[in-house]
Amino acid sequence: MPAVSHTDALLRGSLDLLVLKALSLGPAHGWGIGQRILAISKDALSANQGSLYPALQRLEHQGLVQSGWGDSDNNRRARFYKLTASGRAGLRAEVDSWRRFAAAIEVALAASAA
Amino acid sequence: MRFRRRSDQDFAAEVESHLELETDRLIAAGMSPAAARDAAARAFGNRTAARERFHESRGLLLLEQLMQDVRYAVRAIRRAPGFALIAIAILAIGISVNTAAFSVINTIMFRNFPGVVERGRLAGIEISRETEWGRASGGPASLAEWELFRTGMPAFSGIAAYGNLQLSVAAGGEPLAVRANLVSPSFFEVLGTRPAAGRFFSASDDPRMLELTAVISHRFWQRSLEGRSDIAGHSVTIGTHSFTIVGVAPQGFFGLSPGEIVDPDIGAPELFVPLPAARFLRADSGVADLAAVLDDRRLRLFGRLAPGASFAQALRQANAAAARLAAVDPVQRRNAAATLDPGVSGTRNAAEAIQGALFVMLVPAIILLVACANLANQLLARAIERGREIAVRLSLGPTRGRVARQLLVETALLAIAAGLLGVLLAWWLLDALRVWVLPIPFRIPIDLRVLGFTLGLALLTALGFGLAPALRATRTDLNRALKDGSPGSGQRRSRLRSALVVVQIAASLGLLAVSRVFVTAAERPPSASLDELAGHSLLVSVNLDLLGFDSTAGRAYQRELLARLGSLPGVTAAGTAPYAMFDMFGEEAIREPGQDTRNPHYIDLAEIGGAWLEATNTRPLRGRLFTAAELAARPSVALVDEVAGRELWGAADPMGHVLRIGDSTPSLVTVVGVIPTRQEVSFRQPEGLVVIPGTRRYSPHTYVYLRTAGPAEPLLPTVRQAAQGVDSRVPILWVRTLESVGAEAVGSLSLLASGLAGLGAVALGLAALGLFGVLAFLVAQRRYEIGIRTALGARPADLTWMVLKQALRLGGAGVVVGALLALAAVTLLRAIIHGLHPLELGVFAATALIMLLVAALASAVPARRAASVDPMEALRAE
Repeated sequence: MPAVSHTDALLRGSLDLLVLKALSLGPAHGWGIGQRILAISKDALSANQGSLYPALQRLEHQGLVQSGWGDSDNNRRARFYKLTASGRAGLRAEVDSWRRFAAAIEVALAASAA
Repeated sequence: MRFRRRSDQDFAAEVESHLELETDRLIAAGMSPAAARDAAARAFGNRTAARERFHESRGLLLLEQLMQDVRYAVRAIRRAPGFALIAIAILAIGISVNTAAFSVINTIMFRNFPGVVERGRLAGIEISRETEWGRASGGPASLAEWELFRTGMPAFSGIAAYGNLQLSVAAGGEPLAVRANLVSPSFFEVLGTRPAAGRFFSASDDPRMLELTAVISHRFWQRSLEGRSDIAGHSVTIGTHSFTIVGVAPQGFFGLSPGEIVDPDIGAPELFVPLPAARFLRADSGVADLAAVLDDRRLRLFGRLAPGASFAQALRQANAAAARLAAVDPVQRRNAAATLDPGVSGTRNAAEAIQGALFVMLVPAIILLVACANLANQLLARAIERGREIAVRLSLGPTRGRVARQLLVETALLAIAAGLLGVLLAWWLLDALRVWVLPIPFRIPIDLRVLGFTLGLALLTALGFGLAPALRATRTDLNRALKDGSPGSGQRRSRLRSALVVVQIAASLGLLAVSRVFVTAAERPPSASLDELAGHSLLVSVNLDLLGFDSTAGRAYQRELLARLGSLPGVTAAGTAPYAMFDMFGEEAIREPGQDTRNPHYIDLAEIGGAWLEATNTRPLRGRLFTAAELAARPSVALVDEVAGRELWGAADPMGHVLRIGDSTPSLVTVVGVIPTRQEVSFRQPEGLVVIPGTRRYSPHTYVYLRTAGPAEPLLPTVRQAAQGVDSRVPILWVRTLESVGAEAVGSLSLLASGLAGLGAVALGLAALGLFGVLAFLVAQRRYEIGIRTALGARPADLTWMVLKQALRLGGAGVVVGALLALAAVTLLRAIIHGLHPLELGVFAATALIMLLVAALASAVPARRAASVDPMEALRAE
């Protein structure tokens, strides 16, 4: 499956959702989050690296994630992010609404195809 | 909250660590380190954009942009300092007038008066009663009524009463007439006032201990007692008794009636006498009981809300007290009810307060409007000069909104500077007001509320005069503007500018017309009889009230005073009346006999003694004056003036008609003469006057009118000495020339009129400047067209006419709108102020003509410029 180019995918809302999802697997630094999104989408989605950080900043502002400096696996200093309790709740709500949205789109597309 | 603001460096470090991690990955995948680094940077994308979005998410960008805008604005202002100075000056004038007006409103409506604590918890208690003609104010309360109100209102933590008096006080030397307040012992307690020296009395004091005690004002302390520190226990002579001073009121303290201290006849109280001491105010031996001294209604009541109580509760309890009052006195207090004046602002309800505030703010607002229209116009002109600069900036990327915001920040800076200057000007204006106009014992403060008002006003004006130009300036056709610097949408722009000029002309014309109405009211020409009196007339004011004279003794004193003053060398006529010339005379119910069932006419009544008619140079138009015998007997004859005659009998001749004067013990009088209508100086229509001999009742306050053979002024000391010599215990309130009494009566009026006229002239000047600017702009814009016209043979006169026509068209539109504005304003003012005359057509036409003349003058320079356009140059430039 070809990777969806990041200019036409990953609208702001879905980027936030993916970041939250990536962090639900455990704390990670920004680069790691990008890699993780790539991995969990089986290389289908690649986050624009430049837009990842404003998104993280936004989420931190909303209290959904929190961050602090730490050492990465290969001993680089990096800022690590982790989900907060409200981040976890937010993720659940986002996932639900995304699924409803996706299902609705699916129904609509199926109808037009018929 | 765990979230902390992160610094730029922190964010840069995070981006750096990302790039390192990505580089590591790419190297591991087999890239060379340099290529990996480049690829990582490419993959990350625009780092500046990321940083900016980081900024935006921090919400700091706005502030940073604002700082940029301010820096840019300061640069732009410094590039054109002349414009900035003029703009600031024009706005500062507008803002200062508004700030000063609001300071006055602030002081009267919101601030604590000097020495008064938490005015918002105080409430004036007023009594209304039912009359034949509906509900009317019941006026002040008597001593007995105060006793009824003093208890049984638990919603108030304290109730107090005060009344005005004039007392004769001697602190060693001659007795002086001073304004005093008769106060309940609770007065200072309820106000929360602290003494500047000594102590105050209290509701819990033994009333007998308060006899022969008084509190003095700070001013009296400083002026008459040299501010001595051992003031408590010192004594002064009030009337005939020696009173012990127990304390001094704080500086500026005047109680609760700001309206009275600005009245030159009343002024701020100098002396506070507790009610239990009132019976010693009589000049005789002081055996009278309190009620006999205070037989009339002179006490005003107020209370302080108890903690937790509401004004609604207080009103219910006050109404219950009023009902008790109605039960005791079913005639004078029929169906009495109470109204509260929360905050003691002197207004009964919010609507009244707002109406008053609007009235005070009306003229200042018009001035500011003219200033704003003027500046908006200048800014539009500047926007054209700066068209290329703005176009360059727009083409460099910032959005139109951003550039408009920068321009608005520029105007806001100007407005704030003008606001600061305006506050200084207002400070000075209020000081001048205090020194020259109103004898207020304290300075009207400019507090935080006023500063907030001024700042808000400044920003509002910035928006008012800056918004349209900023939006216009940024709506340019970039290509055209960059190519030749000439503005886009010029037609629409000049239409807006023309509209602004019309607004200015209309507003200044309206203002001039309104000021003219006041000038007419102030300058009503003196009547011929008064003209003859000028320089040859004196008035003496003596008040026996509370000095312990009964009516027999009082009349004896007044007769003796009149006789002594009348026999002074140089005095040709002397008479008495209970009112000063130009004052409002008291009204009396006047009927024709046999018409008891109809409502009486209420007409001013002058009850005169001695040669009052001669002293005031009153000559009969028809009939005759009084004989000496008629003057000495019970009233049987009357004089009416033309207005009273018309009111009573229409067109019929008043001569020989009989009138019934008064309700309780009426006098029947026959009209024996008709006299000219009095000159009025107050804001009132000329009112009718009926004159009868003053033997019907005794009035303790009397004015002696003197007519002199030679100049009156040199006689002032002699007259004062002679008057004082009649009875040393009686203070002579004042001795003044007729002119000074008249000047005082018209003083505030003519000041208001000249102030308005001055402001109108300022507005007119601004409007002329604005008109000049627009015409100059139009000529500059039509250079090409004018060049063609000249090339085709138009003569300079044609071109001059072309510009003049434009000026007259704008001026004419302004005059028409201004006429409507003035008509509306005068109609409104006449509804608020009694007795202003309607706008005079001739006067308005003259003002309009001046306006058009100014418009023509303003067009002179642009017209000459148009006529001197060199066709070759104009056509080549295009």
